[in-house]
Amino acid sequence: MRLTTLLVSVLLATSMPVSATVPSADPDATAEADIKALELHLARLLVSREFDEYEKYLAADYTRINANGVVETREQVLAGFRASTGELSMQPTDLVVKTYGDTAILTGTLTVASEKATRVSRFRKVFIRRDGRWFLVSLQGVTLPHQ
Amino acid sequence: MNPSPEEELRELLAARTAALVAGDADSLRQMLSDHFVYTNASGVVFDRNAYLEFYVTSGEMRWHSQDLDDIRVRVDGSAAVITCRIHDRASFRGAGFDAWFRSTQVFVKQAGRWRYVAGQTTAVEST
Repeated sequence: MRLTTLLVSVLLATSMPVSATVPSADPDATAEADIKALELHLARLLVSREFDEYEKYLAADYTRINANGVVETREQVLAGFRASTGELSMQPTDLVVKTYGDTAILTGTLTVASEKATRVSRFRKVFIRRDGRWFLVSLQGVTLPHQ
Repeated sequence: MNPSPEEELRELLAARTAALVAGDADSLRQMLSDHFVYTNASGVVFDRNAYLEFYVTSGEMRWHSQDLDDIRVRVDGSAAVITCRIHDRASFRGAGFDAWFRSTQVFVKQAGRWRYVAGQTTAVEST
């Protein structure tokens, strides 16, 4: 069996949409609502290209693993956003938050549409609360195949 | 001298890999938070039971080895975010494969123990 075929088989062999049914690890309705609201706010900031404001929510040691598996620092991510051109829309959905004290795990689906294409990805973010404010410390996403 | 949090986490990573390769679901279950969530390279989301079933107890997936490198550990209070590169040599339904991934693994310290609470992998080229 070809490697690529096998990998696809392994990776697609199951489709259990459990994210909507798993209860919160440490139920904190306020924190969960705050994280969901923050996620929507961050998407709006990117769409409106308010990168200076967006930057304020990134931890100094923020790391992103992009859809190609490349590890990017906070500075690299921001430079990429600032160099981008064209209008787009971003719609986070299927948001599920699990909180562990001052740590929150957010999983969800993100639809990004531009004039040229629409891309849907599944992502996982980690937020840490410092002095009452949530900061994004980690993001990893994978592009989903076209439906 | 007590190990540092980073040392504890690196030991835990090694123990996790050893349990996975050995097919030791009981040991793995103890490392995973009750509300563990894992997103694989196709974007499929697993809870703890689904993860253990698919990757260990079903017997469909068998790891021959798993090697981690470029491990970066960031500890922030009772939380830790680890990124690494993973090299899997395994078989799925009897057919072998050799693949590389980039992974994020998130741990939270609960009642004095680090628990694996979330993970995600992305397939990458070997170099």
